Amino acid sequence: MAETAHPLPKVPTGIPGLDHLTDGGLPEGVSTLVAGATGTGKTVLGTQFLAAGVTQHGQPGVYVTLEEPPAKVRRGVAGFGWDVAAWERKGTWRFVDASPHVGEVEIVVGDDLDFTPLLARIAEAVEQIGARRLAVDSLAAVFGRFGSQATVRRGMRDLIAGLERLGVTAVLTAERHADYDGISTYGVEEFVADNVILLRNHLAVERRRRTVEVLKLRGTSHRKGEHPFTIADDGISIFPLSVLALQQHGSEERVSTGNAELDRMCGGGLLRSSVTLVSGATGTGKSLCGLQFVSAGAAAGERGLLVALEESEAQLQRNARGWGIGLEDALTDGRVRLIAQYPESGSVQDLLLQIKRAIDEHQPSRLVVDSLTSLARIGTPDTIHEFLLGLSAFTQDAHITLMFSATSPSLLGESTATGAEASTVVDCIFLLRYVEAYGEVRRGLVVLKIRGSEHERVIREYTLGSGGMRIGAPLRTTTGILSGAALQLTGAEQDRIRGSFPEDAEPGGG
Amino acid sequence: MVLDGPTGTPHRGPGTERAGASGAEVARFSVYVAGGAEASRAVASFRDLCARRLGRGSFAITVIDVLAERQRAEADRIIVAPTVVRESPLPRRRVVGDLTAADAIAAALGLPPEPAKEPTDG
Repeated sequence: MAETAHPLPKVPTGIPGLDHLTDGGLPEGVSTLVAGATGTGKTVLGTQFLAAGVTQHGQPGVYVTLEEPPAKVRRGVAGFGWDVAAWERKGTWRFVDASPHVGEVEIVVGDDLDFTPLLARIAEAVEQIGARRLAVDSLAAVFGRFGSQATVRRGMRDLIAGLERLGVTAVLTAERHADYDGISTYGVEEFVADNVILLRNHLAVERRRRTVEVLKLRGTSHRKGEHPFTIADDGISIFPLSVLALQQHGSEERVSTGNAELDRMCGGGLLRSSVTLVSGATGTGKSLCGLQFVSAGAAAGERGLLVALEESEAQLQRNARGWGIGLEDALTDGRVRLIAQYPESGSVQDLLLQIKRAIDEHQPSRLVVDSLTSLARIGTPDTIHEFLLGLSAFTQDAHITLMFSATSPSLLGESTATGAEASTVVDCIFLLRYVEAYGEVRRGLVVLKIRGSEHERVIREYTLGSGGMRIGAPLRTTTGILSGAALQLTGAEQDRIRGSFPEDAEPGGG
Repeated sequence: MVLDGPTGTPHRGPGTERAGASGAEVARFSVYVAGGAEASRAVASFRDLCARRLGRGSFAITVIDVLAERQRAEADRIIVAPTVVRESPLPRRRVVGDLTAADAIAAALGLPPEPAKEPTDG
């Protein structure tokens, strides 16, 4: 795996996200094994690889079906909008039907099986339509039909070697018994050892959670680990959890939070394409932060996307009016698009896909998700973490400034691995906290961790009212706000602390 | 398509045909091979088996070289060589593998046991 002196050229699959994971696509002219248990989406992936070849790359494809008759495959993928019959008429798709003859007895005698006829038929089909892509679904069917003795295995090995001589880029599917078993049932990987992609389908919080992992890719670079994907009405969409480092934080441009004082606290606003977490208990004004951010964008002529997971559209508009934020116009003329729904209507991955699509359609420059915490009702910390990584990958690619809220700091606290990793995604945190001071509950705000920028580090008191969020004087006499256990300081202690941290003594901007 | 059989009868069709002194139906087989000397040996072995079990004139064998007749291989969904399909009597039966393993092939295709002597002449 290590030596990569002459990396193979890669063929872009056209499957959303997969080319990112594979760092450009599948190795050209060779076979890649796609292994997964029943129902993990192997057949969809194989079909989509061909469909994308036909529709996006002008590359004809041959589909070798060893299990289901072509009619069933055509019907099965019609739901994804792939009109295979039309492509067959145009000569950009050809089936090689190697499915068993239903209702016919078939007996295997001895163990000397020669798969030359199948290879000859594949070669014929490839030649006839000038195919560049090939899918074989599934290898397991061969072993199920003819046994898995050494000679059959040798036959399959010869077949796969033969495919490589045809020069097509192939996806071969194989069954696995379980998600974390050996690579495939019958050990198919020993024939196509170089390129292996695994598909999994877990049940998490009673929801399906599909993941794809590029296990190896002939010594070429690829993303490691499991990445979530969904199968929606246009096929597979993968959400790569990592973006190229080069793309990150490229912008020094500032965008307004919608609150002049908050902008000053951040050193002039949020960095474009950055990710901001607004953390605070119920009633601290998290939703308001999102609303004023989107509304400031709309006022400047920037499109915004608002994903509200805890309020209906009516509630949201009522709250906005109460804070003096007029959102109706921007919603009416389309500058701001709203997705208001309770998360229970789907899975975390469904929501991510929905947001991705809205981004593609609407091309917003600002995105607000309120709140991440509500996703805990339908997802595990892992899936929420993936959601956040996937979301930030989109927004950074599209130069969107993302703001999301979370009710509890523990969701992203340092105590969990999830939090520690999520915090690497976040460029900036607004902590909104209740502060008890001399028998009174007040609100305090602090800006933490703005990457690559100077910002104010004092805790400022703020109020919420019909004018929105009004940020006032520093809360100098209280400590422990960040930990949630506020403590009043005496004058002497204040002086001592001030002396220890001189930079904290200057309220920025003022 | 290559017609081949001990009777030399250039006939192939879905219908049944009476022939031979026993008056039994003619058994029809399609044998799909992938060319080469090994294939010839396999076909010869199978023809010999049929002659012994069914009697000369009671069977017809059609040999299809899938490398020469790819359309036919496609239409008949052949993936392994050699493949023998018993076209008649129905139901169709399909046997793949080692055609020189006479007893196993005979059992798989439902061929009668080998007569002790020459077939009866009535």
